[in-house]
Amino acid sequence: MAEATGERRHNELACTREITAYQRAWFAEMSERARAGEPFAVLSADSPHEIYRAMDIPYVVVQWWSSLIAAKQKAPEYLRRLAEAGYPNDSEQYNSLPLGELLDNNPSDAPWGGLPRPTILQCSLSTDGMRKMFEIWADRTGATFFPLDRSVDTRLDLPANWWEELPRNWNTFLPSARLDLLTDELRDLIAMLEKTTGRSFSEEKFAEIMDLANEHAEANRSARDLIAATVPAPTTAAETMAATMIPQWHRGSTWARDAARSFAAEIKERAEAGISTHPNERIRLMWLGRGLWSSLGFYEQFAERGAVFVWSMYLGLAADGYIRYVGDSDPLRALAARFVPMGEELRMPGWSSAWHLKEALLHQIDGVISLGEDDYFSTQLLKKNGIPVLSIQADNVDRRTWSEDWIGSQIDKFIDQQVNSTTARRISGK
Amino acid sequence: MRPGDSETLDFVRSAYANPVQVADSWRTAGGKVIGILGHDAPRELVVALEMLPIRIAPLRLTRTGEPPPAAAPKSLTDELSPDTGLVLAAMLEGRLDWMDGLVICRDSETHSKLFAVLRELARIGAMRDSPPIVFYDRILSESNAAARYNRLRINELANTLSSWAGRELTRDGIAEAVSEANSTVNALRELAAARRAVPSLRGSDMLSISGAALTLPGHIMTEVLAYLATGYDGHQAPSTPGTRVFITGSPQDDPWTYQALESAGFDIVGEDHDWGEGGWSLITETPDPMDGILDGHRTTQPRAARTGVKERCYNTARMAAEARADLVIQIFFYHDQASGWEFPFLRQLLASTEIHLVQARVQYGHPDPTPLLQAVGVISSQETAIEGKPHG
Repeated sequence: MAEATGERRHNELACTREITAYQRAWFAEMSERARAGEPFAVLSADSPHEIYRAMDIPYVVVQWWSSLIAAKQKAPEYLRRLAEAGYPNDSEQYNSLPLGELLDNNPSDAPWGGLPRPTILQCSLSTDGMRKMFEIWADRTGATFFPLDRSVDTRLDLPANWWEELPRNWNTFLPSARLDLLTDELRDLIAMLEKTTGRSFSEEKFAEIMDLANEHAEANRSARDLIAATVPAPTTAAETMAATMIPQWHRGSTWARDAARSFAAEIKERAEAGISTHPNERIRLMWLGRGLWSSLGFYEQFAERGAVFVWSMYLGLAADGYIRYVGDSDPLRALAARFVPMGEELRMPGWSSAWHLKEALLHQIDGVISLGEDDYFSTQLLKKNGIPVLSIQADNVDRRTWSEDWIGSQIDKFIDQQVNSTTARRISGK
Repeated sequence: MRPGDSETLDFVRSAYANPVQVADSWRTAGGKVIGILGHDAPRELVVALEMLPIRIAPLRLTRTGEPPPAAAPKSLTDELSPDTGLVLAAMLEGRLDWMDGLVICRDSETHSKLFAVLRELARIGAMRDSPPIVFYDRILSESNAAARYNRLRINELANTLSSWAGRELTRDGIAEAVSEANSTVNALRELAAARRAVPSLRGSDMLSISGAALTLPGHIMTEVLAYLATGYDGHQAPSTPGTRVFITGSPQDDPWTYQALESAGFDIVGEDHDWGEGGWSLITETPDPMDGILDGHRTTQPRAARTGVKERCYNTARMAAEARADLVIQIFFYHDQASGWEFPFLRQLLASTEIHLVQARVQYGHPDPTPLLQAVGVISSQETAIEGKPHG
């Protein structure tokens, strides 16, 4: 596929504009601190960010930075740099783009002046190549690498309704062996971070962070529920992606909690006033899989025909995947309970399909577009419940695998051939 | 069989090529067979329960003469690697009726995915006549937390295996199985050392012998290795020594890559993947044999998947030097997400030695030697382009 420049979109909600402006200012300040010699961590999305926050160690999330690289149309160049150095560039693209940027060694041309050199790198070992990739990155930057093990749920019979059970019953819903392992590893991580950075971990601050993260997720849940229930939707998935994910990477801060509350409040105002991004909304679509960060405007192109993307996993997971009420338990164990199942909620057969169906029904979805996902079980279950699915094999940040025209034509055809009839049934109530 | 007779080697090749036949014989005699996907599982526990552990190769899941498993639904196999897709297809078709249980090890995250898929298919009632499964999760870190976790998991596995066997594990039984496993490893190492001194035994045959050791009952394997050690006459040995090759990359569970290189005149003198030398680890005989088993598996050679670059490449370079290799060939499958990250560092390590390094990426289950022969310079890419040009 040819390299393309992507379809931009302008944020519609006041809170999203404030959120993106904050992110720029935060990054500039954080970069300055990092370049001045403060510890600076780069973490995978499934790393325990809350610990770094409790120790006042600034961090950037790999996937956010990769999505920014993609949005700035730098991904093809950075993937080429990986290949030139002899590394694979056809797998792990969402994680490896920042390494490509490092190899490019041209900060003035990189997004936002480039990612500062990390002093700490951390990832959860979720794929066969993850340890190797981060180790190479650490070697080339001089950073200390802290891998976290991932355990596997070995139970043969496990209940699927994780979104109902995890917030309050995590301590019994998840196998204790897995919680023990990660809780112990988190203790080891704290000790190593204290030793490496000279900063100390405050249990009191950490407990506050856990509360703030839960309040943040509650606000996301309110926003999600309102969007699900309101027809036409007060806003679109493309808008909620940015409005959700930037605060998510500041999870546990007062700012993030308040940003999520502002977002929920603005959604509520719009819903109550009957304001919608696309008042002609007729067809409600679900985007299953990672977002096309380099082309967020793409999602709006189907609105002319009344087809609106109202769901993405970003707000959905922010609403259902993070809340872990600590109660009388150890806050560190509650944090472990947030990360033990992370990724399984989205992609483990059984868990993901049940959740996708629950969310599709909640949002009154007429059709699902799935990009680059292992979606066999979700597809089967959604179709069984009368919701058609279009599966597209592509990598969201690798433009060699897709173009707007290619995906767009498939979606148009899908709507014409499969979704219209579902919509008609929903509207007629039959 | 007589010492040194090529019949012995034929017997080994047959066991390696037809594991189902070995299983059938065992079961006919009233025994139970446990299939093992991966290298991580403690086979000794299966042996201690008087069952036969057979490491399964996805390309050899059916009886001789039967067609290989057809593909499962494409949209599902697309989510799996080609090797685990074959296991899935065999399960869906009820073709694994020759085993009484299947242990899936966490050698690779593709195995974790297969387990989750099989579990969900079972839950929705899509499996038929399939053996019971268990997943053995082993964490690779050496932290105390990981050690506690691994201990718990091995105990769980032991309980499941006991229930499949219908008998209790005993310390004596485990100790005996450990002792037998160590004898096999020592015999394999001795044979490999002899092969290196004079490469009269082909690398592909050594791969078959190593694979047979993961298939045949221990007492038979002990006898086979004793025969081979006392003087295999090497009647198929190459007349002139070729370039000495060490294989790294993805685990090679089929000899076609080796055979393609041997046909081109290369002598394969070693490998670090766990279907060959990389899987020969000794187990310390400890008062509680479980301790030794866990430690033994910890000291297995680092494989490509889930390990670090340095840990793996230093080991590869050391093993290649010990094998007095002239050339290291990294053969990795398209679905292997780990090996590719090693190449630049391994190249750096070998740069100061006389050992050359090349890389070939191949498709699992499609024995096309072209990428291999290109990598070693036997054919050029230009020749391939001409050969591959459509007729007319």
